Formats: sequence, C-alpha cells, structure tokens
Amino acid sequence: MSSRRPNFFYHLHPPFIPEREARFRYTFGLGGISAFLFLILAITGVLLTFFYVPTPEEAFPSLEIITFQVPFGWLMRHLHYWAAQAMVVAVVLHLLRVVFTGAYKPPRRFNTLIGLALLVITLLLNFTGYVLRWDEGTHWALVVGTHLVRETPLIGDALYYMVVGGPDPGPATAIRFYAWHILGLAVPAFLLIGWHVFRVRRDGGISHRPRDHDRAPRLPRARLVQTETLAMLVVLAALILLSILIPAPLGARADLPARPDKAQAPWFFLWIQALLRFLPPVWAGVLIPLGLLLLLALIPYAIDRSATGVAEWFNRQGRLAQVVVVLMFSGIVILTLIEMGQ
Amino acid sequence: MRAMPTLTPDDPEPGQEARLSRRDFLTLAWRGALWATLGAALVALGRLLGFAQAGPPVTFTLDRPEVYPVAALTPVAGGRAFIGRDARGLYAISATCTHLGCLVQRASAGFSCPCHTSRFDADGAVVQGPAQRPLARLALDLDGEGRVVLHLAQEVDAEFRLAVT
Amino acid sequence: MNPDRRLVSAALLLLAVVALAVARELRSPTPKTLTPTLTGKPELCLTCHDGLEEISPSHPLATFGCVRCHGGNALALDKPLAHAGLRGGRNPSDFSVVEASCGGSDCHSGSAEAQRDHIHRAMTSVQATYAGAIAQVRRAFGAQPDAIARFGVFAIRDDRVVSARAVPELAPFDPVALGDPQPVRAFAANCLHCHLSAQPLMQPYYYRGTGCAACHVLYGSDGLSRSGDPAISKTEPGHPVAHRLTTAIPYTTCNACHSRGNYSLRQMAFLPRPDLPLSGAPLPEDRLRDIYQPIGQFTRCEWELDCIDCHTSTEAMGDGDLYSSKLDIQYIQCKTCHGTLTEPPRTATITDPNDVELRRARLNGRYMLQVGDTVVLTERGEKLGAVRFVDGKFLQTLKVSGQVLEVPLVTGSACQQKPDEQASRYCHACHAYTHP
Repeated sequence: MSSRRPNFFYHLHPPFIPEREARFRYTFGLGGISAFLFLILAITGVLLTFFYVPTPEEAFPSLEIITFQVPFGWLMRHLHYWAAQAMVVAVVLHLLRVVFTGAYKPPRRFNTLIGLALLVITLLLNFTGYVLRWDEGTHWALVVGTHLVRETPLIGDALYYMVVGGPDPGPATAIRFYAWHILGLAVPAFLLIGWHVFRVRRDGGISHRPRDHDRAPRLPRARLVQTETLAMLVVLAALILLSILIPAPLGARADLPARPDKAQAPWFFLWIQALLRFLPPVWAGVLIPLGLLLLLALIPYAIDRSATGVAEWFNRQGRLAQVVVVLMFSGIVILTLIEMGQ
Repeated sequence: MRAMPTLTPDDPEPGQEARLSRRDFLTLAWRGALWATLGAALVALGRLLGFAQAGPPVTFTLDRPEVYPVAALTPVAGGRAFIGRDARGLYAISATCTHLGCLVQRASAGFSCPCHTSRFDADGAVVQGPAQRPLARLALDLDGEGRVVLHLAQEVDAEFRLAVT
Repeated sequence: MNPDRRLVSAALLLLAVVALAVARELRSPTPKTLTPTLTGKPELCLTCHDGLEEISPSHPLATFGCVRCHGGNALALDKPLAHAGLRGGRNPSDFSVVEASCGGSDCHSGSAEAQRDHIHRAMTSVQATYAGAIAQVRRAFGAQPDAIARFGVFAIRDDRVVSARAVPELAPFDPVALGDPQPVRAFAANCLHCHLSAQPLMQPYYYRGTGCAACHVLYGSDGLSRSGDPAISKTEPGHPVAHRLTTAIPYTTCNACHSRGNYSLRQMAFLPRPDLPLSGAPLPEDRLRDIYQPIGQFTRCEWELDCIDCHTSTEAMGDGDLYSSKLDIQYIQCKTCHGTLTEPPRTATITDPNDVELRRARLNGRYMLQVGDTVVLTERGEKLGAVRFVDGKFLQTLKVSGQVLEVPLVTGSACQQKPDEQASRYCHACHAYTHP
C-alpha cells in the first residue's frame, strides 16, 4: 500500500489491531503508559546520575545541589519521583485490568509471570530509590527493610549481606543500593519489558475475542501509533505540570544514630508496616508478600485454567480469579489506610 | 514521523491554490510544537549538564613578603605557583604547563614538565617542547595582616609586580 | 503522520507546560555561594540573606561562614529545609545550644586560667542561675533554712570551685516537685522572666536576646530590626537592631531586665514601673529618666556613664563560680576610680603583649591601649583598661560613646568621705543626682 518503507516504531506494532480491543475503555492504555513511564524514569535517571553521589555523607547534599542549584535539576528530580509513583499505580492498575479481562488466559499465561516479575522489580526500584534519598524519613525504612530481608528463612543472612554489604547499613549500603537501583533492577527491567512486549506480539497481540479475523473491524497501525503518541504527550505534560506544582519530598538529612519521630515505609509498603504491628516479621515481611505473589502467579495456572472468556470485562469463567484479586487488593488498601491513620 | 500517503487527495479548490489547507496547518502546528519542545528540552539539557560546582580554592594566603628571597623561585600553594622577587617587587609564575596542564617542576635554569618534557626558562618562556605559550603570571596582593595573597584564577602580564618596601 | 486535532492540542499542551517549567527556572534566585575557609564547604545562605551585616570583626564571614555557628542546612534554598537543624532558632547563643555554636577550646570554651571559658562563666553567673533570688525567696517562706543557694533555673555543676563562698552545684528549681509553699510557687510562676534563659516579655523596653545575646546583641526599645537583610521583618518586634555582636553595650541593653519595676513580696507579682509605656511606641530617649527607676538613689556619673563603664567583666559575666548572692560577685565601688582621702586609685602597668585588656580594647574599638600604659586596678586585681593614668591625670574613655572624661579624685578635694564608710550609698548622701 505504501511506497515508503515503514520505520522501526511502526514495525514494532502489528499491521492491524482489532477495533473493539483498541478502544481506550478496554485497556486504558495502562501497559503502554507503564512502559512510557519507565522510559521517562530512565532518561531522568541518567541525568540524575551526573550529579547524585552515592555515599552517606554526600547523598543528601548532592540532592540539595540538584534541587537548588543545577539548572532544571529540580525538574529532573521531581519528574523522576512522580513518574516512579505513577508507575507503581499504573502497573497495579494494569495487573487488575489483565485479571478482570481474562488476558492471562492461554496463550498469555507465561507473559503474566513476566509481568509479575516486573511488578516486583517496579516496587523494588521505587524502594531503592526512596532509600537513596538518605534523609531522615527514609533512613529508618532502610534499617527496617533490610532487617526484614534478614528474616527470610534459610537464605536471610546471605540476602542481607548482598543488600547491605556489611553488618550495619553504612557507606557500602549506599553504593550497593545505587548499584541495585541502576544495574541490578533497572537494566533487568528494561530487558524484561522488551520480552514482555515481544510476548504480547507473539501471543497474538492485544488480548481479544476469538472471532473470525477477516470480518471483525480493524484499525491500521497508523491509528494505533497516533493514539500512543497522544497518550505519551498527555502523560508527559501531566507529569511536568505535577512536578512544577508539587515538589518531590526532601526531609532533613539523616544522621545516625538519631532516633526517628515516626518510622515510615514508602506508601506502597504501608500495608506491610501495618502487618508488622501484629504479626511476626517473618510472616508480615516475607511469607505473606511472597504468598500473595504466588497466589497471583497461580491465577493463570491453577485458579482459572479455562481458555474462554478472554477480552470480556468480568467474564464469568474467571470469576474466582477476579474475586481473589479484589479481596487481595482491598485488603492491601484497607491495611494501607489503617496505617496512614496511625 | 513520516506522513502516511493520503487516501483521499486534498486538492485545493479552483481559485484558492494559495490558501493553507487545514491539514497543512495542523501538520505545521504539530511539527512546530514538537520542534519547539525539543529545542527547549535540548537547551535545558545543555544548561543542566553544563552546571559546574564550586571547585577547589583559588585564593591562597601565603607568608609575609620579606620571606621570599631575591633571585630565587619559591614553590607555593602546593606547587601550583612559584613566587619570584626582583628589584621592583614580587611576582608569581603559574606552574600549570601550557601544553596540557600538568604541574611543572623546578629544573636547572627554569622549569620542566614531567608529562611531555616541555621546558621553560626562569621567566616562564618556552625553551623547548610541545608547549607553545609561556607560563602564565598570576595576580598577587596583600591582605589586612600584610601577608601575600595569591589569586590562581587571575592572570596578569609579565610586568606586574607586587611592590614591597 | 497526519495529525488530528487531539494530537495537535496535546503537543501544544506539552509545549505550554514546558514553557511553564522554563519560566519557573528563569525566575528562581541565582544561588549565592560562600565557601568559608574554616569548613571548606559551600553555603547558600546569602542567596536569601543578601545584605546581612558581618556579625563582628572577630568572626568574619569569609572565615566562619554561617553554618559553623547557626547550624542549619547549607545547601538548601527552600526555607523550611534550609532552617532545619538551626541551633536555637534565631539565636545560636541560647544556653541550650551555646556549647555547640560557640564552644570549643579554640573558641569560647577555652581555659579557665586565662578566664577564656566564657560559656562556663556566663552559665554559672547569678544572672543565668538566678540562684540568689531563688534562695532568698525560699528562705523567706521557710522552704530552706539559710540563704545558701541550692537551686537555679537549670541544673549546673562547677567542677573547679575557687571561692570559699561558692557552691559546687545547683539543682533545677521546681517548687511543685520540691513541695515548696504557695508563695514560692507564685514566685516561680510570676517572677522568673529576667534571667538569661528566660524569654523576654514582648513589650517596649523589654526586648532582648537570651544566652550570650542577652547582653552582646543590641535590641532597640521598640524591638524592631534595622538590619540590611531583606529576609528579616522590619515591622515585627522582637528582633535585634542588627546582626552584630558587640562589647560596647549601652545601658538600654542592661535595662531590658534591670530597672524595669519592682517585685512585691506581698502580692508575689512583678509591678512594672509606671513612668514608661508598656505598649505602643517607646518614649524618646532620656538617660536620666530611663537608666534608673524613680525610687533609685544615684549620682550624676552613674547616669552619664553606661553600666559597663564601671561594672567589670567579672561582675557581669561571673568568674566561673556558682554564688548564692549577687553581693558575692558585685564589688565595684566609687573609690576604685576616685580613690580615698588618703590614697589615689590603685594602678597597674600593662607589660604583657598578650594581656587580655589589650584584646578588650581592640574588640571595643572606642579606646586605645598598648603595652606600657598604666590603668586603674580594682580590689580583685582586674584592670580597667578604659581608665588610664596619663600625664598625672586619670582619663576614662566611655565604652559606648567614646567620650573622654577626667576622673576627679577624692584626695585634695572637699569630699567628706570616711575611711570606714566606703560603700557607694555613702557617696550618694551628698552626690545625689541633684548635687552633681
């Protein structure tokens, strides 16, 4: 049809997508938004590495230099922060959408596992970034978090040393969290995102109703690319506006061994902080989160093995999976709200 | 983004060839906005990456002028400069080699650079070596207590002297 | 790509937001960096406080910077973050934080021998401990059998007790916990707002600092700032006149506590003096009216001079010992400078180039002193550097105004002084202020 050869970005997309599933209210574009947020994080992150110093003495001052002296440093930092929080929200909502529309059903079961791995990496990226701020609010999160790691049965001590780099959090920990953040988490995340997107194409594109392909209405990829571009522009504009209006938090610098007013986990781990009030740490911090992850992983393989009902919101076949997920996330939200009220 | 070939040709109406069509205007606005944004982003990126933090100190408080003898070159400020003295007063020669910036050392009748063997005479003029320009002269003044102050970042000409009684 | 309307709007929206970000960057203040030579770490405080005065010639900004004394966050330009960790709020010399701000053996926690442990001296002085008043009131109402001090406004120990009249430590004064009778509790509630840790009343003539700043930082009677720093409010009372430490302390500073009124033991309340306004603008300055309350007995020199022209460093700052009464530390008398009928004032000659009097003269800046000068010597061996013996005359240079006065001597005059009546109240009998 075209005398010109399509470029790389066009070629990444399928030539046609089913019109019904291309609608915004089917997917809300959450997967694409998550990937775009990762791109923003990568670019702002690279710019931040020119100024951030990963040692306990210099981490916080280097953040102050970024925020108050470097031209547009404040924008890079706030964008990085807001894109990170938005990404956690986006990937969770994407997970919910995938479950509610049955997009985990065969042949997309393995891709769901890749997605779960990306969920975990996203949360860990946010946590390591939070700790790297090295101010009063975040420092005790580091102590608590690393001690929870230690609670893991069998491999707890080894994991602790891999993360902390010594008997107590100190200079080695700062550089390790930095290494984890960039090389141990973001780089694997990039590769996994690539694999995840590849699997989407290989598994037949966006999850859709099984029907006669030749007769269902379709959209050319040009339209898809246009929509994606629109979403990217809007998301970027919204994040920049948010960054201008609301700064990323920066507390007073952390000075060991001062005691905190209120040990505060990052918002997405507040539910674990709530559990820690009445459960032993090995349960609250290790076994329950891993158990929930396992439960999510079992959705395509055990909880709902049927192959029908794909691309139908709240399809009947996947009812059990939907209930499990609703209960799980309601519980997490309730625990979070309780902890916020403390 | 390359324009896809249009499915319905948009020929201008007869007699209105010069009018900008709506599609062209939208394309212009679209491309204009994107290029402007990209331009602003590149300028901002340049400013961000060009930020330089306050560097190491450039002002050094030295000794009282009497300490520096005539016809000798005294290294000061950790070897970053040499203080000389003649009948008219004190002067400072920068020890930064004008080739690629290594610190020169005292040699028999002047200075020599350990990095690429440039050689200078006692006044800083080039004797030999890849360096092309003479060693810079640096500004000196006195502080409130009568001590010599060296300004590493301020160059002066070869005639400059800090007059001392 | 053929753009549709939504794409173009989105692109323009993005452009607008980017323009907003650029505008905000261009509007943000250019950071003004100061790297003090003492710490080597850059500080951005002057970005907002551009125009602030140098605190003193002995504490130059280029050497000390701001954070060494004040604490706070050197690299922040956001007000709450920049001021997080500020020692003592606006006043780093408040006794709760003074050791961190002003202390150190190179600084004001130096050696006791050279009387350079200013922090210890100030914190043990009766002006800081209020021990004398507390002991007297407790004895008056039967809470303790004698007038020896046991309590002060804060707990303090003196490990090096020199005087026989000094005590080694004071416990914090808490009449409720001690079970003291009601009048003592009323005293604690109503009468403890004039010691060096007390917050001043926010009224004209009462504005002052706490800690070292109570004396060494000057406040106007109206409590308004005249500093060059644009970040300091010029309309809110409670600020010092300028960001400056001084040893030329005028009587108005002493009078932020002294000569403010009277305590009534019957009502257990403080009765402010009725001749000065308690709100609104202060009256124009009048030394005779301002220096002493209407009931005071004093001679003309006492209101023509400032307090520090007579009262010595030991009297004002203490000598490092904890005393039970101001009478143990306050000792200057008229005869110290004026002599007696038979003897001229005692003198001493400055021989040591490191003599503290030479340093004091330089710090004050109103009078010159050098090795070889002869100055008046007090009964306790303190040299009064501002009162010099020159060409057969005693000349006093006033420490605030710089005016030079000749000291009239008692010998060879018509004075009726008796050898055994040397307290200054005997001088007042004749030299009351109507008889100069």
